Amino acid sequence: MIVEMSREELFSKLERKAVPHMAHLHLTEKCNLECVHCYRIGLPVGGEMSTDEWIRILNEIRNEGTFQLTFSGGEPLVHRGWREIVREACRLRFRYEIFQNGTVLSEEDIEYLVSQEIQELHFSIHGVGASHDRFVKMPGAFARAFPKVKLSVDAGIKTIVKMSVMRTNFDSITELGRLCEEAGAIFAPSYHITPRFVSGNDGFLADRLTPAEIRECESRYTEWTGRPEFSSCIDEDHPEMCNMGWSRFAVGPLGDLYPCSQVPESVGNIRHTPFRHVWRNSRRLNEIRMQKGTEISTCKSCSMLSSCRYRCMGQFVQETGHYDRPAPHHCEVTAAWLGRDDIINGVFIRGAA
Amino acid sequence: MDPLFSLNPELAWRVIDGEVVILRIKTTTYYSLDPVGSFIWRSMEQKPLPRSELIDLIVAEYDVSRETAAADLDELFADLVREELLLASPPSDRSEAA
Repeated sequence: MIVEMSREELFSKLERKAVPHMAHLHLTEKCNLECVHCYRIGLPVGGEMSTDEWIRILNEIRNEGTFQLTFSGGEPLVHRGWREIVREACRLRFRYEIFQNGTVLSEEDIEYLVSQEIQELHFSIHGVGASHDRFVKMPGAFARAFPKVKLSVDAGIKTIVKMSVMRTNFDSITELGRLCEEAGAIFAPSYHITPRFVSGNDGFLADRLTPAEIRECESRYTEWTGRPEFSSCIDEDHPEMCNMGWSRFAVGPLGDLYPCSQVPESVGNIRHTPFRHVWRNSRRLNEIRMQKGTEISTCKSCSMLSSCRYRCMGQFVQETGHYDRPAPHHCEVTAAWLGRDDIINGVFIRGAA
Repeated sequence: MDPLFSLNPELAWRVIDGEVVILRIKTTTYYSLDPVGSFIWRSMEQKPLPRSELIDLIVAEYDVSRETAAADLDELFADLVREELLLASPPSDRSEAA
């Protein structure tokens, strides 16, 4: 007998069994850009895994049930073996996507990716012209990157342009959205700006959108993107917490295993130890898994809880260093979504509504 | 001569706790197979097989008659072919290919 399942039904089923369904693979931390908001700036770039090591890991995670891959970085196309790694991903029948910045990608690369059955190609483009160039600190970056968006669309690849929206580039949203529409690409602005994994130099956080600007983003999101709302990784079947470490995981370029790409804490290393062993036996990973479904004591009496989109432990950790502690910024954003004004100097006045 | 059945190469599949889960990559549609379906699917992983050979495998693996195995296989294959998870090559194609 065969049973057709929705994505949600499958995810729920796999998660109950702790099947590592989705992998986020950071092939390298090296990058030719220096984006203002990048949370990975400062991570070590030496001694990264070779092509053969990545290929071994692809085979291991396939055997554990992984279906979906995201290749990311750094700039993943800087890894000298990325073509071989992608070819292996195709051979092993993964559904995969690549997050890249468009400045390294060539027309030949796009043709290659079509031949290797890529499912989605994501471009990180944060403005138009000089606005983007300033954001990524590379003169001419927009002129190099954006034409590839059209080439990717024309090649038949599902193409997504992701813009991290801050106060410094907020004015570019409408124009970038229009250019994406003309090119036939999906436009995906996001205002989830998080602190860096390596602490220090987090002054850019002062340029995160204000609640009023977030409200404008929300109200115009459908107009800009044609989609109903900002995306979220929240598991609606288990609304208390996300599914990190249950069905999703990330691997860094040194072989460190993370419960999610948003979490800076390694729960083991799979460079010299089989993935299966670490996934099943990491004490720390099991501790993190046990957080799912638990009540967050600081939130349980909050009147906004049912509408809160910040139940992402990765963002909790990045903001506060704790898996169970939201930051005042989360409360501000939720209040903005709800159109509430009981925020004073960045602090949500609990129960004031 | 039996038609040959082969797995659609556009699919991805994984074996999870002995159960085959199939992903149609382009549409992100998922399917799962029950234990017998999973056994039949995995039997065809390496190469296309004719119906008669698959019936032999089922009878050898499970305590069922040849008639029951054939009926179950035909029901499963009808579903798999309808969903385009399985491709059937007529005998004429094989002789031409040979």
